[in-house]
Amino acid sequence: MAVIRRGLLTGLFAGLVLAMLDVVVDGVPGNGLQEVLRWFGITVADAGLARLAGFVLVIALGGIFGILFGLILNSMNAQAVSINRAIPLGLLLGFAWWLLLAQMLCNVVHHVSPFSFNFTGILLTLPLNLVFGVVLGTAYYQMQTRTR
Amino acid sequence: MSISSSASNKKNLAKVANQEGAINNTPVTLSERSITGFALIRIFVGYLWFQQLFWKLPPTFAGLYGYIVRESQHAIIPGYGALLQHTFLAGCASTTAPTGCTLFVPLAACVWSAELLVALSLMFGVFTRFGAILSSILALQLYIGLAYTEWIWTYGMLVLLGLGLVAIPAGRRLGIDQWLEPHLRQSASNSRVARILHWFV
Repeated sequence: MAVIRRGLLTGLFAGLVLAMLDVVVDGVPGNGLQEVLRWFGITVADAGLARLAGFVLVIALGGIFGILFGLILNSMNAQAVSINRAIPLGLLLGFAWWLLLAQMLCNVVHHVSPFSFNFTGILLTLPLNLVFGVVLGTAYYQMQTRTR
Repeated sequence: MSISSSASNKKNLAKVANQEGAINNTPVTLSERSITGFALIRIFVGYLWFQQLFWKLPPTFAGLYGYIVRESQHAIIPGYGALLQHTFLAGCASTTAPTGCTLFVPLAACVWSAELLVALSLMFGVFTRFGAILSSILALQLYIGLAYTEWIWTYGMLVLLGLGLVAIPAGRRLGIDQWLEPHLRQSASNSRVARILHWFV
């Protein structure tokens, strides 16, 4: 249970980092956060409120992926994870977020084939989700080290 | 008596000076919170560089052209404008579009790749100090070329941000350097390459 709780907390933290990165977008600050709402069919008329709701949703999604991180470690009976494992697992979950949500679900919502990819789109979204993964993995490891 | 007293005073003064020196020279250790804070700053500075890739995308890098032209006209160092004229802008027929340029695309590709490298290095915290050095050089180049065309501190601040990240191993938290550092430290005693690489994490 401690592993899952730690996963949730670090997932929320990594989600917060990702949400903050989505706010400071050149030219269109916070517009990516409205896009996150659309993935789930949520439309909010007020743009400011939509950004705030998107901000909270990204953090919540971070929490869900953090729980997944903890569940995977639990299933591997890994009460203490090494940094060699924490970073690749975080990167894998960051990639999964990008593939399932930022690419496939986003494409479906915009009535495009789920497997339609383009260079700019990949360059714009993939690194951010991978940063989420690195932050998730390293923050988990750091929290585990401090607890022990 | 007075001599003895004076000697004793000198001894006391030397003792106090030694104690103060010891206190003042105590190595500064960053707390976990401080280094995590620096790691977050590193991610955001990396993202700053990352976003600047999108207005000068390959294969044409056209967005960069106007800035190179401006740099060649307003550089603060004599001769820098001429250098740009004979490299980036060699053969260019227009000041608005890179038509007729012979070296613009390959050199712009180098700039774009360097900025991508900086962005990835700082965002992921991988060989962070290398990324920070490269970012300082790129920002210094922007300062030389564009400082007089915008708020003079704009690119100066970018140089200082880069230098700040050179000084602090910000990739060792929330970054891949946290994994690299112990491996490179271990190999550093046997390998010169590892020793050099270890300095960059």
